[in-house]
Amino acid sequence: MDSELWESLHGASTHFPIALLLAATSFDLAAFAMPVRWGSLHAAGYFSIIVAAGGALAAVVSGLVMTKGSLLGGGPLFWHHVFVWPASLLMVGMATWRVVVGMNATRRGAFGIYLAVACLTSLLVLGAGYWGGKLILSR
Amino acid sequence: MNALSREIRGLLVAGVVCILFGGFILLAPAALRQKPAAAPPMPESPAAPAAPASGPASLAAPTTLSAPAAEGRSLYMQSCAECHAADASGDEGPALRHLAISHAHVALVVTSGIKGEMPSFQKKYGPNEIAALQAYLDTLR
Repeated sequence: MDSELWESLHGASTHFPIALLLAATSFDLAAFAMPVRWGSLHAAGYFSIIVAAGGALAAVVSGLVMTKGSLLGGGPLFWHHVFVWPASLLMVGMATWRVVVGMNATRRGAFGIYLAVACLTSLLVLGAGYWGGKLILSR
Repeated sequence: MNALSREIRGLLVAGVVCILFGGFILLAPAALRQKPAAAPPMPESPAAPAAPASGPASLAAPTTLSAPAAEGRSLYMQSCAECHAADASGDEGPALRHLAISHAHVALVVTSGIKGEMPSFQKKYGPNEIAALQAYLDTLR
C-alpha cells in the first residue's frame, strides 16, 4: 500500500490514544479524589483507557508499516520512539489490568499505584507527541 | 475471589500481554523490511553508452534525465553509491529502486540518518540538493 496513505493513517490513528489516555487519567484522578469512590467518572476512565489501548495498537502498526519497520531511527524519529515504545506497552498493560480487575473492584492503594503509572504514561505520551510534532515540522 | 487476588491476577495477565505486545513490536520489523529486489535495468541505461567496468564513478551519465535528476544522480554517486550501489540495487545499504516511501520520508532519512546504520547528511545537503536526489530516485521507482 502507498506509503503516504500509511503516513495519513498514522496521523489519523495516533491522536485518539493520546487524547483518550489523557482523558482516562483525568477521569480516574478526579474519581480518586471524590468522596464517593466508584462513580461514573471511573466508568469513563475504564472505557477510555481500553479504547486508548486499541488506538495505540493501530498507531503502532501504522507507524511500523510507514517506517518499514524502523524501531529506533535517527534524530527526532529516535526520540519519538524512545517515548512511544514504553508508552504503548504501558497503555496496553494498564488496559489489560483494568479489564481483569473490573470496573468496580479494586482497593484504593492499588488504584493509587495504577494512577501513578497512568501519570507516567501520560508524560511519555506527551513526549512522544512532542517529538512526533518535531518530525512533522522538520519536513 | 477477593480484590487482592484479582489485582495480582490482573498484574500477571497485563505482564503477559505486554510481553506478547513487545514481542510483536520486536518481530514485526523483520517481516516488514523488504529484501532488495533483483535489480531490473536502470530506466536510463538504454540511452546511455556502455559503461566501462571500472567502478561507479566511471558510469556514464544518462542523457534522458531532467536537469534536477541529473544533478541528483551526481550527488547520489558522490554520497550514496558507496553503500547503496551505483545502480541503486543495494549493497551494504538497502536497494533504493522502486522506493515506496514518500518524499518527506526520504528527506527525513537523508537529513536525520539512521542511528548506527546511516550518517546524517543534514550539514552536507540542503533542501535543493535533497530535492535533486529525490528527482533522481523518482526515475528509479
